[in-house]
Amino acid sequence: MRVSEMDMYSPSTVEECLYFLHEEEKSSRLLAGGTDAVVRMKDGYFRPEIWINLKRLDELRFISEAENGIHIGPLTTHTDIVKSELLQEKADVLVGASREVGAVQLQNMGTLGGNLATASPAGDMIPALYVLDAKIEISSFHDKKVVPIHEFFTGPGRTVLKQDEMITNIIIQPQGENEIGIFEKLGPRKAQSISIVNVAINLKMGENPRECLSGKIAFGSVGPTIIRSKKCERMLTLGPLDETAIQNIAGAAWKEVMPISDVRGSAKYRRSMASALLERGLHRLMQRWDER
Amino acid sequence: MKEIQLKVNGEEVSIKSPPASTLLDVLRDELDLIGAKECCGKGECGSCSVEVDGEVVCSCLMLVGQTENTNITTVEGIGQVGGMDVMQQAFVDEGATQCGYCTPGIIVSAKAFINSIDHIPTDDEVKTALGGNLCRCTGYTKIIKAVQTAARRQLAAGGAPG
Amino acid sequence: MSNEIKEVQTMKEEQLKWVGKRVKRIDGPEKVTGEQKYKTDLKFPNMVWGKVLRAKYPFAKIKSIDIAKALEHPEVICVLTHKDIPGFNGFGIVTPDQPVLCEDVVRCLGDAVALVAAETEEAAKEILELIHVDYDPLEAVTDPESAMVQGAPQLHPDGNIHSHITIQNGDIEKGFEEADYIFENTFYSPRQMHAFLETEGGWGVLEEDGSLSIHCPSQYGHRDKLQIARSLALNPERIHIYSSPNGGGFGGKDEITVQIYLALLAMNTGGRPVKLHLSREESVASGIKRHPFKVTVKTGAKKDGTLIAHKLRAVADTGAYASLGGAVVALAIEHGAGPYKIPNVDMEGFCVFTNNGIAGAFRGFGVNQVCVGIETHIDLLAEKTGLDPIEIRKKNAYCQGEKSSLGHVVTSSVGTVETLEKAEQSELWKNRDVYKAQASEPWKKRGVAVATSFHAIGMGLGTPDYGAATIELLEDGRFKVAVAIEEIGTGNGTVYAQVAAELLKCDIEDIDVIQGDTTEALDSGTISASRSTYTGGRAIATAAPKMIGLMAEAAAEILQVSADQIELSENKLHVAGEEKRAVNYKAIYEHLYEKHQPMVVEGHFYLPREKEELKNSGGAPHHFYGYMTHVVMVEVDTLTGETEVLRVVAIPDCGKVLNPQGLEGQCEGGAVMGIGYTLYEDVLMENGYNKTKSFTDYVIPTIRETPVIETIPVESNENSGPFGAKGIAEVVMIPIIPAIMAAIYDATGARIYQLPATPERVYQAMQATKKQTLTAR
Ligand SMILES: Cc1cc2nc3c(=O)[nH]c(=O)nc-3n(C[C@H](O)[C@H](O)[C@H](O)COP(=O)(O)OP(=O)(O)OC[C@H]3O[C@@H](n4cnc5c(N)ncnc54)[C@H](O)[C@@H]3O)c2cc1C
Ligand code: FES
Ligand code: FES
Repeated sequence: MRVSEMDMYSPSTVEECLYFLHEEEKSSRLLAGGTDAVVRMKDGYFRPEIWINLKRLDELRFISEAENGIHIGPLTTHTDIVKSELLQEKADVLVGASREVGAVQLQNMGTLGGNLATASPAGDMIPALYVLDAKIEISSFHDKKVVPIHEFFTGPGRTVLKQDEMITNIIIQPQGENEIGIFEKLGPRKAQSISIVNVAINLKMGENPRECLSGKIAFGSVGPTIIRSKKCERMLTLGPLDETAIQNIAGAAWKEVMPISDVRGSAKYRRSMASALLERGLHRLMQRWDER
Repeated sequence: MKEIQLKVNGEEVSIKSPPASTLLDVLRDELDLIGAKECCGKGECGSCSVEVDGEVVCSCLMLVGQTENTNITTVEGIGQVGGMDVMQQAFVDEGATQCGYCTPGIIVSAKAFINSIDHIPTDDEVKTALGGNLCRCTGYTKIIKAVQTAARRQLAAGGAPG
Repeated sequence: MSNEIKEVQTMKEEQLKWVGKRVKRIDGPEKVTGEQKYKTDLKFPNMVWGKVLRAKYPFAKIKSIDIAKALEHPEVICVLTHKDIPGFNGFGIVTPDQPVLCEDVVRCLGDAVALVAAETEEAAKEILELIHVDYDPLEAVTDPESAMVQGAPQLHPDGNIHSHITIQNGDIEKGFEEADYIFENTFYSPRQMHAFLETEGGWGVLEEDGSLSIHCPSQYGHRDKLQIARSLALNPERIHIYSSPNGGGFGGKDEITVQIYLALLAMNTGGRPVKLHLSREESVASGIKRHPFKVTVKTGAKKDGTLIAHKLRAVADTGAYASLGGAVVALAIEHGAGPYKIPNVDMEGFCVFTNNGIAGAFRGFGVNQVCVGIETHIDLLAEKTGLDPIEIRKKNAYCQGEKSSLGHVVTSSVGTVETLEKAEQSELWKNRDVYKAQASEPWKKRGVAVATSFHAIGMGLGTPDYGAATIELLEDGRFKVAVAIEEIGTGNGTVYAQVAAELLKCDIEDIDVIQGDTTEALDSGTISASRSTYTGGRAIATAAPKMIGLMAEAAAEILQVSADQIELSENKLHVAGEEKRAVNYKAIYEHLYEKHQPMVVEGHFYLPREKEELKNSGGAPHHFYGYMTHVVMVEVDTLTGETEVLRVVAIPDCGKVLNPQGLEGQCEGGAVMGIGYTLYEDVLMENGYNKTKSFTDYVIPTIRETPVIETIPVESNENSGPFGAKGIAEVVMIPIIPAIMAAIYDATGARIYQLPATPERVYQAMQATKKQTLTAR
C-alpha cells in the first residue's frame, strides 16, 4: 500500500467509530496522536488502507473522578495529564511518567490510549498504570468489557485488543492522603530518550516515621512486559524505610527482573539498574514524605 | 487525493492531498512554507515544529487528514524579516542561531512557551520547554538567553502574553 | 608580512568600528524567520526525484546488476549504473578510491550501486526495490588491528594499511630511562557522527546552455566541481556549484556527498531538474564519520613534573575508503604529545581500511582521539607527585619561540600558558572545593578538572593553502565582497563583512557577502581546518587596499588632485587636509562607469607555512595553532553512572577576537559537541552493519544536557592574521574531552579509558574501583 493511496476516516462519535471497525472490510488502523503509528507507517510496518483518525473524538479526552476511580479517556494527551490538578494530587506517579515522555511536542501529541495499545516494553506510562491498579475499558460495536491492566498485555507489542475493538476508558485508583508515588527513568539522556530501565512506585504510608503499610513496585524495560516486584513490595512493610531498609529492598530487586541486552544497555547493567532506580526512587520518596 | 481545508497563519487554505501525507510535506511542498524542516522525520529533532490549535507538534508525525479545520501557525506566521517577532529579534540579538536549520522549529516552540507563561523563565524552565528541539551548532546557551530576553521584552511591552 | 597586513595590524583598538565588536549576524533575520533558503529547500518546476541504491552487504562481490524490471516501472525516468559513468568512476579528496557507482565489489553499506530518477519519491523508492543485484558476500573486515595482519582479506589492491605516519624526536629509550614515573594506558574512542541537522541533498539542473548547476550544501564547491568533472568527463568550467548556506557541516560535507549523483542524474533526465535528499537513516548509513581510534600511550616524567618521554601508537578505523583518513591520522600524530615541549617522542599512527562505513573529516580531525592520552597522563602524574595539574601543564607548555615536542621552533603566537593562568584564576577553579561539596543529592558526587590542548590552523605542508577574495564597487556605492568559502553556520560571512566594512570605512550594511558560488567567487580553499576566518579575512584585507587605490585614483581625477593627496574617511574620499573637498563612493562608481573602468579588484595570498616537512609526518608541522583550556565541573550519580556536566569554563586563544559573539557561539557549540563525544555519542556497528540507525539511538545532547558555559578569551596577537586573528572552530571541542574524563575521576575515583562514558561504562568503572579497594584491603 502506497502512503499516497491510503484513505482516512474521521468519525465524530465513538459509536460511529465502533460501527466502522465492525463493518469495514478494508484494512484499517486507529490513529490517535500518531507518534507511534506514523513512525511505523514510515518504516513500512503499518500500511492500512484506511486510517481511522480519532482526533475528533472529544468524548474520549477527559479526566474525571467517579466512584470506582479516576477515569481517563484514551485520547488524553501526556500534556493533559501533566497539567491535571486532579492527577497531580491523586496520581502523582502517572503525572511523573507523562512528564518523562519524549519532550513537549511528543507530550502534546501522544495519548495515553496510544501508549497502552503500542505496548512497548519501554513504554513509560505502563508501570505507572500498574501501581495505580488501572483497568482498561475495551469497547466493540456489540460489547464492552473491563480488563485489569496485567491482563491487557500479552507480550512485547501485543495486547488483548482485537481488530474491531478500541480502548474507551482507563480507570485508575486514586491515591489516598497517605499515599505517595514516584516514577524513575534511566535513559541515555534527559529528554527524547527511550527508557533503559524505569520503575513506578506507589506507597501507602502509616502514622509512624517512614512506616510503610503497603506498596507497589513495577519495573519497565527489564522484561517482555512489566514486572511487578512482589518480593520488594513485601519487604517495604518490614520496618521503617530508613537508609538500610531502602538499600536492602533495592538490593533484592535485580533478581526479580529478566532484562535482555540491546544497543541501549546490557542485561547485567539493566539488572543492576533495577536496584539502583528503586533505591533512588525510595530515597526521593522518603525525603518528600519527611518534608511534607 | 482529498480536498482538505486548513487555516494556516491566519489564512484559510484549501489543498488537494493524500490524507496520509504528513502536514510537514504539505506545508513545504504544497504551500511553499519551507521554514519547518525535516531532519529526522520521526519526532526526534523538533525541526519540523509548528503550532496546531495552540499546541506545538512535530508536523512530520501529523497526517494532514488529521489537521482538517485546525488552526496552524508556522514560523512564517510568527514574523518576517520586515517585521520580526520579539522572539526572532531576541535570537538575532543574542546570536542564538548559527547554521539556522534548527532555528524555525525552535522559534515556534519558544514562542508558544513564552506565550504560556507570565514571567521570565528560569534556565530549567526553558530547558524543559525546548527539550524536543535539537540543535547541533549553538550549544543552546544563547538560545536559553534569547528566550529569556524575549520573555522580558514581551512582558515589558505589555505584560499580557501573546 | 605584506604591506597591507602591516597596515591592518597597526590599526589601534579604539580606531576599530566593526572588528572586535559584538556585531550581530548579517544573515540572522533570514534564519530566524525561516526565510533563508537552504539548497534542499529550493524548488524547480518539472522536477523529478532521485534515489540511491546502497549496498546490501558490507563487503561483497557484485556478480550482476539487473535493471530490466526497474525500467518497466511506469514512473521511471532513468536507472543508472557504473556503465553510465562517462568519466572516471571514483571520487575522494586525496585518493579517488571510492566508486561513484560500484562495479564489481561493494566495501561498505554506504556504497552506491545504482541511481534512480522517477516522477515521485514513492515511485523512486519502489524502483530501487526492482533493481536486482546478485552479490557474493565476503567475510567483512571490521577490526582494524586484525585488518593489518598478513592474510586478512584485502579491501584494496595496496592492502589494508592506507597510511603509516611516524614522528620521532630525541631519544625515546633514553627518555624513559631517565623518567621517575612512567604511565602507560590504552584509550578507545567512538565513531562520532556529525549529525548536522540538514542531511545531504540538493539539486542537479542541466541548464539550457548545456552547463550543469549543482545546488548542494558543501564545504568546498570549487573542489566538488573538479570531482564532478572527473567522473562525468565534463569541462569543469561548465559546472556551477552553489554550496552555501549549509544546515551544518562540521567536516561531514567536506568530501563529496551526493554532488556526483546529482550531476549524473541531471544528465539523464531529459533536462528535468532532479532532487535528492537523504533520509536521516540513509545519512547515518552512508555519511562520513569520525575515526574510532585505539591509542596506546606511554609517558615518562621526572619527579619535578617535567615530561621527558612520550610514546604513542594509534590505530584508526578509516572504513572502506581513503577520503581524508590519511590526513586525519597525520594531524593526530602531530598533536599526539599535546602543546608541550617533551624532548623525546616516538609517535606513530596507522590509518586502516575496514568495512565499517567511511570515516573522514570531522571537527578536531584526529586530535580529539589522541589528546586524552597526554592529558590523562599529566593528571596521573599530578596525583603521583602531588603537584598541581595546572602547574605541570604550564611547566611543560612550549611558548612562542620555543621548540615543541616535534623539535621545531614555533614562531607563531602561543597562548597555552595564558589560558592556563586564566583557568587558575577562574571562579570555578578557585572555589572548586566549595562547589564539590554541594552535590544535589546524597548519592551524587561532583568533580572539577582542567585540560588543555591545541589544534593546527590551515592545511599543513604538501597541500595547497591559499585564499582569494574579490571586492566590487556597486552602483549604489555599496560593495560586493565575494569569498567562495561557504557559510556552514560559523558566521564567517559576518566576519568577512566586518573586515571589509572596517577597511573600506563603510557601514556593515553596505557590504553584500557572496559565498559558496563558483560563478561569482574565486577558489579560496575549504571551510575546514579552522581556516575560514583567517583565510577569508586576510584575502579581503589583501583586496581592500586595491579597491581603495582604485577609488583613490578615481577621486583624484574627479577632484583634480594627484592620487597621493587623497585620503579615506567614513564613506568618502577627500583631499588631504580638506575634508570638504570630497566624493562619496556612489559618485566614484558613476565616474568609473562613465569611463568604462573596471570596478572589481582581487586579493590573493598563500597561508604561511613552515619551511621543512618532518619526514613521514604527512604534513607536519603546521605554522600556527589555536590553543585552548577547559575547566569543567561534573556531577555523577553513583547509583546509575549518569554523568551531568554542570559548568564549563572555555578559555580559547584564537589570536585577536574579531567578533566576541561569534567566538562564544563556537565555544558553546564546541563544548556541547565535546560533551556529546565524551558522554553520549557513538555509531555502533556489528560485522559492518549499523546497529545505530537513526536519531533514536544516536544520542546527541539536547538543551537539557547543556551546562552553564562561560567563555574567557585570551588574545594572543598573531602577526600574520587579519587584525591579529587565528582560528578556533575545532579546538573548542577538544580539551573538554579529557577534562570531563578527569572530572569523572575527581568525582568518583573511576578512570574512563573508553568513550563515550555512558552511564553503563561509568557504572562499571565505579564497580571496578570498588572491587579494587576491597581486594586492596
Ligand atoms: C521521538 C519519540 C519519543 C518518544 N518517547 C517516549 C517516551 O519517552 N516514553 C514513552 O512511553 N513513549 C515514547 N514515545 C512513544 C509514543 O509517543 C507514546 O507511546 C504515545 O503515548 C503514543 O500515543 P499516540 O497517541 O501518539 O499513539 P498512535 O501513534 O496514534 O497510536 C499507537 C498505537 O495505538 C493504537 N491506538 C491508539 N489509540 C487507540 C485506542 N483508543 N484504542 C486502541 N488502540 C489505539 C494505534 O492503532 C496504534 O497502533 C516516543 C515516540 C517518539 C516518536
Ligand atoms: S523532522 Fe519532525 S521531529 Fe525531526
Ligand atoms: S543552528 Fe545549526 S542546528 Fe541549530
